[in-house]
Amino acid sequence: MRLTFKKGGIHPAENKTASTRIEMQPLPMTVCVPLSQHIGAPAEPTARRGDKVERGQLIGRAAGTVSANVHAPISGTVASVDNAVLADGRPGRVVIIKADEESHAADTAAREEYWKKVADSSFGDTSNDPHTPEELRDMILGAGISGMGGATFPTHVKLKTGAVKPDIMIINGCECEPYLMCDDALMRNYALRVVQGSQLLARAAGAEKTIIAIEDNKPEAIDAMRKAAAAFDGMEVVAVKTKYPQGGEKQLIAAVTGRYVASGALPISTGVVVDNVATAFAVWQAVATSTPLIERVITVTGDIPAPERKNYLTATGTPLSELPFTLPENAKAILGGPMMGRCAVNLDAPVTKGTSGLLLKSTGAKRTVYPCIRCGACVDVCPMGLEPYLLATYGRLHRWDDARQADVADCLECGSCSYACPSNRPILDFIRIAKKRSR
Amino acid sequence: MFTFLLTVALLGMLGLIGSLILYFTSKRFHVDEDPRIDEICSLLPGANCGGCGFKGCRDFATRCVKQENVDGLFCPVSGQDGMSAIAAVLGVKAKAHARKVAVLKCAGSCQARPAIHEYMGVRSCAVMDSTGVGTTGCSFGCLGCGDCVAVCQFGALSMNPETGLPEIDSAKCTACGACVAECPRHLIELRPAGKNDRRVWVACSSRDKGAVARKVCSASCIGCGKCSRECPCGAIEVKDNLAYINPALCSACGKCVEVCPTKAIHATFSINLNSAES
Repeated sequence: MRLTFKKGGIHPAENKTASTRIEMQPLPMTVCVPLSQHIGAPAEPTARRGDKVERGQLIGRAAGTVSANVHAPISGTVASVDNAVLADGRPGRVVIIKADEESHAADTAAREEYWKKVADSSFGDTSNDPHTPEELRDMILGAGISGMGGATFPTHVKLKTGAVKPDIMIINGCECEPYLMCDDALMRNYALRVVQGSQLLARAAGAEKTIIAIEDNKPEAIDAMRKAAAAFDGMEVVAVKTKYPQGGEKQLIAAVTGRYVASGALPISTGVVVDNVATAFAVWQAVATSTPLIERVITVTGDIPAPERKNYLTATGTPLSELPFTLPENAKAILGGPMMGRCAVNLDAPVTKGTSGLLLKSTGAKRTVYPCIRCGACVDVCPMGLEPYLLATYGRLHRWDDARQADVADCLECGSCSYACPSNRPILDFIRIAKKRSR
Repeated sequence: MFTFLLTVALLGMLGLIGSLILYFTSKRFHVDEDPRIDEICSLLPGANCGGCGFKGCRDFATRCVKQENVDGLFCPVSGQDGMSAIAAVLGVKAKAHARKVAVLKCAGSCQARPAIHEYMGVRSCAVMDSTGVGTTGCSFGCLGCGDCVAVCQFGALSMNPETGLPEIDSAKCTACGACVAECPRHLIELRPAGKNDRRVWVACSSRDKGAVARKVCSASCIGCGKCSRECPCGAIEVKDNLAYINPALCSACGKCVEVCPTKAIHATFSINLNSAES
């Protein structure tokens, strides 16, 4: 019996065809760093126009409880603190930093040396880390780490546990989204660092047991992680069934621990904290090397020539268009995976902390929407046990109260219903509206 | 024959018991309702549009009777005359209420703001707004799928296929506010109809900087502030690169309409540009 959540789920074509090597994407000469790369309040800019900033220097301070710090990904001069159009086409506040030749060369050299050190396993051992959980949380806050699986919830907030003390830390290496391979690549190449980061995260949350969950379509990553985790106490690497949305927080908790999060409750109520492997890696970077979150691995894939489907270690703020790819005909760009990713209309916009991938699809013909035939396929696949057809109807007919009664707020917007619908009905689109307006 | 009689007797008894239960419950739980509620209800349009802020016409009538006057209550569909009639039922007088109409704060027609993206989803503004930015480069303007038209119960809104924007028939508009609540981009505002139906408003909602806004839409407000300098009433404020005309201060003189370089300020009356130049 392979571990998985009990109800629903789908098996979309995986299309995980990108190379698992991590290439270094050169640092750009100009970066545009959004002050809101996380869920919650945008960071308050601390740098002003004309300021000289160093790589890794704080340029935006977390404003409010749910917020995250933002750091300079390159050294240079702040050209402006202004509004710019971001990838989704909407404006957001950004800090634009321009490098000169000299600082660019220095940054590049420092970066290469840093990653050489990261690859050297004798460096940066954190198993006897002297910091207390509070200090670790402060370091995570200081480094501006927010969940890197896509939802970008500030990690320090998640670790600040209230009444319920967590006993299990789950590190999410499922990467159930088709196409994406950034977590896979990270686990294969930096397994030790991810494990060390996981241990730090577990200590910061106060959990005794750490479980690293990886979908069984990534045997190499599982092997690498098992090897790296063998020397650690209370650390276990488990293979979970390849099924979408296995990487959903509530689904993963159910699969690994058998615990269920009550409707409307937070996952912490079951005594479990879930964090992504890339987040664990960023935590190790913050604690062992005092490096804030200014770089991340992103997958560039889709309908582009096979040699171009790669994972890049990219500085945040790098324009998406600087990544090397040939735009397919009738291109549709998606930030993240095809299931939950967001449509990107502006490729000059920057990579952010939550950008796990850039998926370039060439669009086919528009699919005809047929009437609902009441087959119940959406009900079968819904991992939350909801009735998507009903919620979508409520959304379409403006019946917000009914939608609330039918627990629309529990929908995780995984899109399994729309995927499974034989009539191509845009079920999730209307559920999203019902969810928003029934609040 | 016996079976037949037994059936009739049994059913008759069941019916009798049922009717007795119904009779006594209706006596026991009888609610005295003010007959004026029904009277006011008959005066109301019965569209249950919610424009008054209550759940429906009956809820509104109940409230009128409960507070024994119509202060602070207004049925936008019935209008001033209707409210006077309702007040008469209660034996009071209705206060004067300025008529309002809906205006569209976007002028991004297909010509002024060409489509640059393709949208393949459902034709619904709400869906379009939740999945992306729409088909144009403007993230503030009208999405053009007509959610507001669908929600209007009075036929006051219609899509103009040439401009791709909804048009508001101010004669039919009852200012119920259904379209205001429906527009995912909050582009419709209820403004006082004004003296002699003269009103002026900024037909743009873009808070982008002037150059950016201008690039994607030739009819956008660029926040230059010319209108606010020209306004003799001090009614115009420019905030976040967007001008807003305060209807309480505006005298509808039309000076701002003349000076606006992008023609983003609309008026219900025509302005003689030649006389302004001479």
